[in-house]
Amino acid sequence: MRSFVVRRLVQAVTVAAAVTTLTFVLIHLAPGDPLAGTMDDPRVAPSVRAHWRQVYGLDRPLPVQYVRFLTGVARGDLGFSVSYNEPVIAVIRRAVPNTLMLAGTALVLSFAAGILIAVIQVRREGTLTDRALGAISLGLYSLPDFWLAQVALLAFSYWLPIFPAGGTIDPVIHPYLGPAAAALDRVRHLVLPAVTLAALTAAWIARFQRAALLDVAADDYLRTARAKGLSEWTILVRHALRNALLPVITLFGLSLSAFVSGAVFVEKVFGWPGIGSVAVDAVGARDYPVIIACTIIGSILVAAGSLIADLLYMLADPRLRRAEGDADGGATSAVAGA
Amino acid sequence: MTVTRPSERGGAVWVPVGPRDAAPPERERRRPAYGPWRALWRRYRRDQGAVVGLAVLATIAAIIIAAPLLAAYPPDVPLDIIALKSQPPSWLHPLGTDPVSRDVLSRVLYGGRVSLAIAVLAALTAATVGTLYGAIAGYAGGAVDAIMMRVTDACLSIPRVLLLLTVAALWGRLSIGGLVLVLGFTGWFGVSRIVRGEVLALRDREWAIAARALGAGATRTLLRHILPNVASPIIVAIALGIGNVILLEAGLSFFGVGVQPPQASWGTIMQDGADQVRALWWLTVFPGLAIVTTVMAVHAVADGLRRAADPRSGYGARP
Repeated sequence: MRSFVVRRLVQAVTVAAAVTTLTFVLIHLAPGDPLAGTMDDPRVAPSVRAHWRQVYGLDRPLPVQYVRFLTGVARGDLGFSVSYNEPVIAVIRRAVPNTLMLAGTALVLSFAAGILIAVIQVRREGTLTDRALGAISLGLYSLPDFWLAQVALLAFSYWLPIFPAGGTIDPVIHPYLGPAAAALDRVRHLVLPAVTLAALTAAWIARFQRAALLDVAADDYLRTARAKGLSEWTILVRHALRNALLPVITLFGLSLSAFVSGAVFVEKVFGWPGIGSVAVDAVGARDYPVIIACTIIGSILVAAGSLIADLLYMLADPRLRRAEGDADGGATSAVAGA
Repeated sequence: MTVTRPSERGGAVWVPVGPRDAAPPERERRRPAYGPWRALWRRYRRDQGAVVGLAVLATIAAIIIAAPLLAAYPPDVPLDIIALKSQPPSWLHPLGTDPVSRDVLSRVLYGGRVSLAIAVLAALTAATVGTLYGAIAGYAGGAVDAIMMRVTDACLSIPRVLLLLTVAALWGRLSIGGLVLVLGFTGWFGVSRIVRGEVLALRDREWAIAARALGAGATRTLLRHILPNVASPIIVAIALGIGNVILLEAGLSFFGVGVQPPQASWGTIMQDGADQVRALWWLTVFPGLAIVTTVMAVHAVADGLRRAADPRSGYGARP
């Protein structure tokens, strides 16, 4: 068990190292260097250019620059943002809690909804309900995330003004609200983006869960349960779902990357100030240290999340605790290959 | 126990025969001989949804290929910047016109060519890279496999959209070819895992050992003997990849980092109406419907293929 934990920790560190290396390679593959945009103006004297290249260490050999970049990231020095006029780390630090809030809520919602939909589908397998839910899942699964976000915004914010149109709080009245009303204000702002993000992924989880439930449907213990005279719902929820949940729980770690990816455009449409919004805005402003920081931090969040998911999964499934020797890379990786 | 059957010559003469002759040999001959592809198709066509998906996809492909014949207006040329600016759907412009007076129907038709071409090419790129990478890792095994797969694991943890935004920011404007490459090279991690697992499982089958014993090298064993057996999961991965890339490209183009205007793609058309969604709803709704229909059909086909190839497998993830 300890070796499994150590191996997973090493893997999480590998992710951080890999994404940092990858972004470094990308920066140097891209035409021009980081100062090209501002410095390669013919009106800037060559000596000035050389001076600033030296200040930023851009005249050093690549391996030296690479080590400087790595150690910088490890220390939390992600550069300086031109568009925000402050260190990148400050921008990221403001954005990360918002993304965690949105993606976390959506994660919980989508797993709850996805599993529920699958249970209903399997209970009514082959009927119109099953097929209709399957078709709806397929439809949701095929929607562009930003498009669904726009439609949701249009429907529930303009046509039926139930929810606020964007942001995390109401900037005008929020400071004057009491604690309960302030919390409600936050929840009201969270509903639309979280439900949008959850709907897209719930469909995927429902499809996976349905397959897993049908997989165990022919197992002997279900026949035994049926022979005992238990109701179909009890059999499905207490017996089948318990066993069919395990493969779906492994999706947890795997889906994190999809959640952060999906959150990017959803955040932008709803004006939710998380790392997705920050990244999209940074592309427009050509503020590339910010977007690189978003990618690095986003990947580290995903790696950390999947590490936690794997450790929890190991606690949940005694089989994994025993079979530590032959599983390579943990539960999440096992499903990724399936 | 004996069974009787009419003799071939006599017709009316019944002769007793043994039980082994109970199944007449003619029946064996009547069953058509078919290969793996035919078998795949026979299982595929049993799935109603998959067949409908394939039909829809074929129709969309036909419409898009015939875009120059069907589009009444050029896609990139403003028609009349004063009189035809932002017109709602009408008989002359069934899907309306955009803020610079271009016909939206023509743009959706031509944009489909761009969106689908990018999706198909990027998915093929991803599948090629992923197959090669996965095949090498699975065939090599041992430390090489372990290192290669740790790299894939790490790459799978990078949110794909953020990686795409990084590339877009660093390169400024991406050409269509650049977009294909970037989408392809960020989409192969999943495929490589699938291929690696399959190759690992097939590598030491008797027929693979036989091939090596007969003197086939690693390349030949992989390409001629092992990879053909991995074809169906790869095809499913390509289909899913096409769906994912259509969605991703639309998102990137919508936020101005994908296909660059004035070139039409389903994402850029929506971008043209993004700041006035309520007033210019036709710019958002119609390209959106085109995307949803296409991606749904692609997913239905991928599902059908998966069920036909392996009825007991799970489902793939979004990007």
